[in-house]
Amino acid sequence: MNGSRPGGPLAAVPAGCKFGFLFVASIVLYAVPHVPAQVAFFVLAVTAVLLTRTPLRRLGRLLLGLFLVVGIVFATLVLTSTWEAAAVSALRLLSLCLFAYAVTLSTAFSEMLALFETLLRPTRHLGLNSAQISLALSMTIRFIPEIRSQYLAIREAQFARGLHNSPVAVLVPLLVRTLESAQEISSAIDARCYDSAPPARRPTPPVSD
Amino acid sequence: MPPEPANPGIRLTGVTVTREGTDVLRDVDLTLDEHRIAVIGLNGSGKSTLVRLLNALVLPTRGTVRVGELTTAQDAKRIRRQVGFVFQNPENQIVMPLVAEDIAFGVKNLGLRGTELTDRVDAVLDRLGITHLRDRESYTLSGGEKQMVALASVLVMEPSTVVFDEPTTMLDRRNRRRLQRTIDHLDQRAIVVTHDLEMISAYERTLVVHEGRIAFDGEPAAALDFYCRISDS
Repeated sequence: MNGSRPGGPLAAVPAGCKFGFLFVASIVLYAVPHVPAQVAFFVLAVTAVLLTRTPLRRLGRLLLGLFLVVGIVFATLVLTSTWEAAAVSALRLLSLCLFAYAVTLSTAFSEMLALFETLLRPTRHLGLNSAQISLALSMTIRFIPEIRSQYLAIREAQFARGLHNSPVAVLVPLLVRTLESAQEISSAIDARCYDSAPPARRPTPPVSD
Repeated sequence: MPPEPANPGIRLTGVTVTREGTDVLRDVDLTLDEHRIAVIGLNGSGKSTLVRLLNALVLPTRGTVRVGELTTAQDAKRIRRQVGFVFQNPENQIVMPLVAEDIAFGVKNLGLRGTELTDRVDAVLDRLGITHLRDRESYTLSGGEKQMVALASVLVMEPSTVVFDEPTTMLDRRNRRRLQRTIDHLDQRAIVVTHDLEMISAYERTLVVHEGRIAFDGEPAAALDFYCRISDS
């Protein structure tokens, strides 16, 4: 997830177009089994990532693990099949991940949410509320670091009490704190005029006495 | 829908709040018209319940709470536009991953979109001097920054009254002073629940809540004397 406002020329492209391209690219990448074509896709994917104007040091940190995993996959495939098949698989995986990085690094979280909300809108016919699903998604992303820091604080407190290998001693207080926070967060959302009522499926006719 | 008055008074009439068979607040009659009002009291005295009544986060078991012509039992959403609420722990108030998105959340709920929304968010960030936080991830903020973002998320909705529930509890001295100055300069009516007695010395009115009742209502100096007596008893 990008922490600052995305820059570069790709940021100006609508989120729907970028995610649409990612969908099509994933199909094409798996439909084409030739090394030269995969090399061309890889060059295109690298260019797309560079167009996000993400600092190279940050990119290096993001991509290090990816290259390590793909390297292991490549080595395994070379030993078990031909080098061409290994190269196609490795390049395919790299290109796909790089395109995905290019999309997420160039798209603001709010744009992604708006897109998901639009895509989920047809689910209202099934009685689902796309705005609520979208809010739940954003809150999940918002609160993962908070829950992690609470977990670390509780674990530290239990270590201080000599409870070194006791998952229950950590998980029970974590669960209680998370539920308490959830209650307060729910009040905070209400206080900011969030309408949690699901959208009406059709206008209610006036009631006559 | 008729326009709301600029700064409507808040009136509580015969308000009792009961939880699990116990009266948390009993027979409260109050009219809140002043610009700066403090609410103090011991832990568990009913202060937070009292202020949560003001924007319909808590509804009275008996009695009515009116903001202008509106009652919390019937017009909760309209009242929440007029009475903003800053929570004790800003971590629970910030619900979006990025600061700008979080500040925009409330006004989006009021139907604002596009440049009007962006302008309003930028204006409140500028007013509080936190424009540099605009694109930061919420979880990376310090405690003081989180409290300012939480306040921005309330002020952006342009309420006529802002309720603060122990806003300085989790802040160091420097951030406490900063928040205090910010509250002092607000155009809105401020109702502040606090244990920070230094903060309220210049307020127009102080309520002391004790065992679910308004035990004292008057000038800050006399209220502090009363509060010290009940604290020491």
